[in-house]
Amino acid sequence: MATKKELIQEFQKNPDRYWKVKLFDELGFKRRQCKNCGKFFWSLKDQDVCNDSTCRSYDFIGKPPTKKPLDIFQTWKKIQKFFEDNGHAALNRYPTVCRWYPLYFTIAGIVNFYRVDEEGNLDWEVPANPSILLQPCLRFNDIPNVGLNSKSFTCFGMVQQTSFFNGKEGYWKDKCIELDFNLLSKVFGIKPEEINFIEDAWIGYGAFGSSLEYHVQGIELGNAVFTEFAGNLENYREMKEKVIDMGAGWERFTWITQGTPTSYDAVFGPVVEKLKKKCGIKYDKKFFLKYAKISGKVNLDEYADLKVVLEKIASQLGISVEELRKNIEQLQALYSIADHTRALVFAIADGGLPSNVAGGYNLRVILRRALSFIDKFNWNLGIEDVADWHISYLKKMFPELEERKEEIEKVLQAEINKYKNTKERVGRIIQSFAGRKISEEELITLYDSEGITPEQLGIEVSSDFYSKVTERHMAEKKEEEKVLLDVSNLPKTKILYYDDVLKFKAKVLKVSGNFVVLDQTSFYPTSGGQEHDTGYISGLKVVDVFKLHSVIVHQLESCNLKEGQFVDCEVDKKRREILKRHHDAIHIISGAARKILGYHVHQHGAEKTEEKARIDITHFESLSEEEEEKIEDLANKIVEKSLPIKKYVMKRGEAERKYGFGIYAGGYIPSRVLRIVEIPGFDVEACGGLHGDNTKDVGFIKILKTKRIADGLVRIEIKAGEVALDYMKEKERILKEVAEKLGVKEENVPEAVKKLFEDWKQKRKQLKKMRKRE
Amino acid sequence: MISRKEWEELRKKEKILKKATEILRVEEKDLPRVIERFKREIKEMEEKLQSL
Repeated sequence: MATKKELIQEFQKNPDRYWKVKLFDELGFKRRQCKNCGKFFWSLKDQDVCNDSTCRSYDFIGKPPTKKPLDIFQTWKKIQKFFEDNGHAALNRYPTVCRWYPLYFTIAGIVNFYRVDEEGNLDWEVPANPSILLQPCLRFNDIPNVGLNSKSFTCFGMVQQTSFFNGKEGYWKDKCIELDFNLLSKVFGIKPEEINFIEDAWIGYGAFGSSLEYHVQGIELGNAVFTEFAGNLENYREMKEKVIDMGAGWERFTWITQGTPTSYDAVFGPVVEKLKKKCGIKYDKKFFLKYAKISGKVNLDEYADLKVVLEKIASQLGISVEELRKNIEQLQALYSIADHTRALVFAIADGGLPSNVAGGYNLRVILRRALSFIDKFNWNLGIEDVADWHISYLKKMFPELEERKEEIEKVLQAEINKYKNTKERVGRIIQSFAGRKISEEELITLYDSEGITPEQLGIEVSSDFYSKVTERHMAEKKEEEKVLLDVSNLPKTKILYYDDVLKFKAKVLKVSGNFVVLDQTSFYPTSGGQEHDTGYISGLKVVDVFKLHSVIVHQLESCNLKEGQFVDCEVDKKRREILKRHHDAIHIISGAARKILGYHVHQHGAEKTEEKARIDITHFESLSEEEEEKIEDLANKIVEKSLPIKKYVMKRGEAERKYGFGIYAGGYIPSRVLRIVEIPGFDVEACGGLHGDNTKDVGFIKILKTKRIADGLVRIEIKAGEVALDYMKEKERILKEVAEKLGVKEENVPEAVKKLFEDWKQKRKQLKKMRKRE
Repeated sequence: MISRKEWEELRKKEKILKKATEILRVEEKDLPRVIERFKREIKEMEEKLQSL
């Protein structure tokens, strides 16, 4: 796979083909090379240094190049109107927690349209073309820069301009840059000679293309990516439908209109001022302004060592590193708290949960980082209050934040309590290292296992510490596949199990040892947590069934079948029925848990066997007996209501629009069509498993036990229907037996057991006493 | 299937059994055997106490 650098070098062999657009010729933009960074860029003005923040200061601070100052709401209104007037459909935002693609979070606006097809390749789901939307995004690879370089966020709004161009619909590079140029110059009033278009490229998710970043007075406002090739540099094809993926910074557009020292001052509304007041921050405003102007040069990704970066800046300002630190560290902490809290507000409102698992880990990192800052400076500040200030400011544009305010507070409070508990262990941990230096690896382990931050231990770490920690948890989710036999030349197996077929005939297509592939089957393969069917193929016992790509493989106890032979097959009806009931019951429990515990409850994993079923849900603490009972009661009410369990096969986009992204309860599904299982008014999920037709057929559901299996994960084990009844009858039998043995009524058993136990203890004591006397 | 009333009766019995097992900290299936053991041991201890 080529690197971005190699890609740019390749495109630079023919820059006009990849970067030149009509507008450049029409207005006289010339291609130049920056003598500082070496990048090529296009500008009207004859300049030898480009507008990138690493090459020049934020010149707009104190003197904005735009018409008038705008707040974040006015900024978006202007952008949205401009694109709508130019034929773009304005879309609603997507959740920041990404459930439709194998990423934990929505890291860019374009991710909204990413899907995975049946072959595992990148696929697109586009509700309108062309389109514009404001997408709140979460990224955790830039944490050390937040608060330092005046422009980095973990949570930011991306203005996403998208066009799919196939010759008939949408538009391509010329129109894109013309629109973006007009947005800057006509809508925001930036003089054309202040605009640079810097040549860049983008590669990822099996596609690539050139891109043009637009920079004004030291700040990159947007990046228009022209995705036109699928594959990699060594082996690629031109895409039939090319993609304009322009992402611009909502915060940066707002900032440049206000010209405040940092973007945080411009975009957090009243939050920054409230924080300054509450924390009693005093700082040298004149000095900070000088720092802010050149703070764009802070890029810890490139320099990695904070000390080196600060030395450079300090020397430019003519002061020592210590003085610089003293002057900026409180503000850096304050801006970080504001940013991290806003990220948590969006993430929790969208169903995210700080924890030790998956993406929840990233949320924990930022919350603990914010709390560490509060500890460090001994501020009397509650994160819940900061969250509340953000919600009050943002609610007119994001009313859903206000709707989930109570839950956001509850989740934050639980996580803050966990942090406080770890703090109490800090002293003990420091002692255990007996004065020796704690290595970075040990610090990461301490963070992973105990959730203790280096700041809590009073240790200063390299600036990429949090990036290293979060990267461990940011990796895309990948599924392992065990290939047992080669099925590459076999056709897709025709599926009969959705039609409830129990007896069928089929042709043997392949035999390898005890593994058999048929042309069609009604044996359900283990998938989606549901165990496989069993039964017989030509009288031979089926012991396992699994899927390899689109081929279903049967494992037999022994096999004498021949390829080409026709066979009679029979699925074990009893087992099938139990598995179906357990699967239905898990959907019902999932819906009930969400209703009782809150919006943050999502399925993390599930298993449905003949004996019992389990679901692992995201939740911040163990369930109380009362919560367990409430969930079980609600589940059984749904059973008694005799609600239909509806199954539909729908186009993916249609299902998303109709039901929302909650359908991806168990994660993303690599398919253009989805099988939707709906219990009307209660639960709806995309699910490939087997289900009954009515909740009453499930029978009573019994929660066997619940257990916190990891931080942020609770396992609920259940039995349903006859299996649950057998389980309860066995308990009834034991109680009866015990009552008989004790010679008491059943309701008096606990009392009698207690009496018996006391009697036994007393006798033992007496005996001991007597023996001592002897 | 059984009625809601019958189900609730079973749940009630389940709770009673749970309470009883919690006193002795044993598994439900082991409860009858443990009760037997206690009864036997109490009897044995009583006999010993009398003989001392």
